[in-house]
Amino acid sequence: MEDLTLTSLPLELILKIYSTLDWKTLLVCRQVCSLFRSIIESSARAQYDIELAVYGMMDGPPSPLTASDRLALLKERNAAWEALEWKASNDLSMQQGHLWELCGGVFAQSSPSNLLHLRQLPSEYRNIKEKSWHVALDVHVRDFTIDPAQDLLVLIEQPPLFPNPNEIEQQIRIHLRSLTTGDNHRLAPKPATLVHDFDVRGAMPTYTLQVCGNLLGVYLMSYGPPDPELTVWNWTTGEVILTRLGPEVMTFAFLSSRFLLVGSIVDIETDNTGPRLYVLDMTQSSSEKILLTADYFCSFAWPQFNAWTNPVGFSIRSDPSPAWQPNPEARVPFSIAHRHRLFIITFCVITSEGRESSHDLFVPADTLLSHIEALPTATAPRDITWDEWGPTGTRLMQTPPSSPWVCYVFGTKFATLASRTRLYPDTLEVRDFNQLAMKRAAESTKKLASEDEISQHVYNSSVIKAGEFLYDVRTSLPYRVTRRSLPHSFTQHFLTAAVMCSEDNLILVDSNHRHLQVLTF
Amino acid sequence: MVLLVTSDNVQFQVDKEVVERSVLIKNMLEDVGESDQSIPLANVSSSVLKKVIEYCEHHRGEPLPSADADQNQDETRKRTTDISEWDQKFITVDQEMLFEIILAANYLDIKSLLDVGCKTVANMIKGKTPEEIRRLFNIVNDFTPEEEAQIKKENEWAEDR
Repeated sequence: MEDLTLTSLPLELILKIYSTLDWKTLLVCRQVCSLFRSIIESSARAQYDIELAVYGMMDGPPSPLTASDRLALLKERNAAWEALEWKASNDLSMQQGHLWELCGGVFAQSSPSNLLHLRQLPSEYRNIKEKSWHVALDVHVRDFTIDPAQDLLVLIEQPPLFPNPNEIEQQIRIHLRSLTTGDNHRLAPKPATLVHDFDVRGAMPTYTLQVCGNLLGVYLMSYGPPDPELTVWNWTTGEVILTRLGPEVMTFAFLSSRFLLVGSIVDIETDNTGPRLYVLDMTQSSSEKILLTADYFCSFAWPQFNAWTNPVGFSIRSDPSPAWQPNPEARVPFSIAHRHRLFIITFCVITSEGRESSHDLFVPADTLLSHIEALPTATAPRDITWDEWGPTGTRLMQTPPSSPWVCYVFGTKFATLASRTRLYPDTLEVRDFNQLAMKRAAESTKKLASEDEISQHVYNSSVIKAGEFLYDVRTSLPYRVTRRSLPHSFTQHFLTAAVMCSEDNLILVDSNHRHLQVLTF
Repeated sequence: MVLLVTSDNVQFQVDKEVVERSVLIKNMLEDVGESDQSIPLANVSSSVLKKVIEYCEHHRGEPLPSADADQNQDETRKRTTDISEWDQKFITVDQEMLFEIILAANYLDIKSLLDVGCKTVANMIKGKTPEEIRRLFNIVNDFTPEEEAQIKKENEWAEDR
């Protein structure tokens, strides 16, 4: 028999070998010889794998769509987002002032009649049909969150306003329900209620809830005693993973299924009055109630504040949670990949002149994880200074005062409003921090020499002049900004107050908070 | 027992249960029914068939992947290149034999063996430079220097940050 080599294998077998290679190796193989190059360039599967990686997406479950169908859809969808060319728009009205949540493409609102109204937002490119349903609630709800992928509805029961004075400690009850039926969730422990000791006498705590796979984080904060506290459960077993308490605990978000981010200002150790992002390792943590600084993996420092700056607010936003994957029943061709998250960390301060000032720090999960992964384990906590991670790994920008419409981030995209006339918002602006897509686009547009007006890459540094900070703060993480006029159909009737972002939708909110317009990709 | 005859005319007596891991042979047996007829395998040499039978013997009794599952796997291929310890040892052969096994597994339609073979080649490719891949698999660089520079440039965006 003739010498048998890799290149003499039949084409189908070479393709089969390629199908197990990651996108980077595929690009290396493309450089080996002209045969490999032409195979990779003409294979829809290989091109789809590369395209998924560049846009931070992952493949969906099997469906009649082939790799080449999916590749075409993915390219069309990305082009539509990059030009902000939505394919459909429809209206949505708000219920009378109650609780709402936007998560995983489902918009949920509670109504005074104790009904939860749910709406699956549609998608054109990923073929998701709009659907609405409601769930009758049998408890008085103080707050809630949802995870449509896991059919999970988490309800916080309103504690009694006038509790029995004989009870020393009050309890908070967290109910785990099915989002489709309102019944107890099938994966929840029995009974499907987490009971948490928290002294709510006299305090009206506010809640922040987040689900990440089988983890549920609840942050409780009241003005006055008791101290704020953050608890993470495995909601499927009822086991407490960790609890941190004390005034240092100000905000939290899941960074991955292993690491938890906690925002804090007070730094007891160094007396350095800058905010800090603490990273807790949930696999190594005890469930004891302890202070934030008693046990942590590492921390990321902010640039140093001016001594007279008074911090008043701190919040972290990111969506969807790191463990998110779409409900397999939705059969979407592709969806956002796990590591592609942008954390928007908003900081509100009163400056020495008594002025309120707010800024957003844009941090891709990659920036934090690459530092964390480089750290040796089982050593003392490492405090990472601002200069080590901030200037090149983030973007710090001055922002308008915060609005309650906080769902402005999905994956690596951030949506906001801008104004050309400076009178009222007339422009939609989307910033995308996907670094790989930008690098590739930059390579190919070099030849074109000019960028179009709608979409631009921003490489210049952002500078925040010394004021609330001790020194000028420069940050230079590149991003792509796309701008488009708000749709006339909306602006002729309403004054736009905010925009929210989901995987396939942008949602405009009118200033009376009564009317929403859903723009669908 | 089933009688197989290789391209170099060597006869192998194999248990029906073992040999039915090959979908090709399984279908052939179903077609001819109960008979003592030998099955000619014109595309497989004795040295390769010996290895293939060794593999099938070891995995005797394990469930065969259904045709349905096969298709699903193709669509949502998991990028795992994990190979079990025994398979790893089994597939540690020279390159020519490796490719022969892949060809035979493809011809005989033994999905799990084809997977092991392809994953092994993929693992050999991973983490190497184009030049290292050429050297390992004895591939001639047929690009002109200009083409090579061009492709390298086209790939720059993907280099490590």
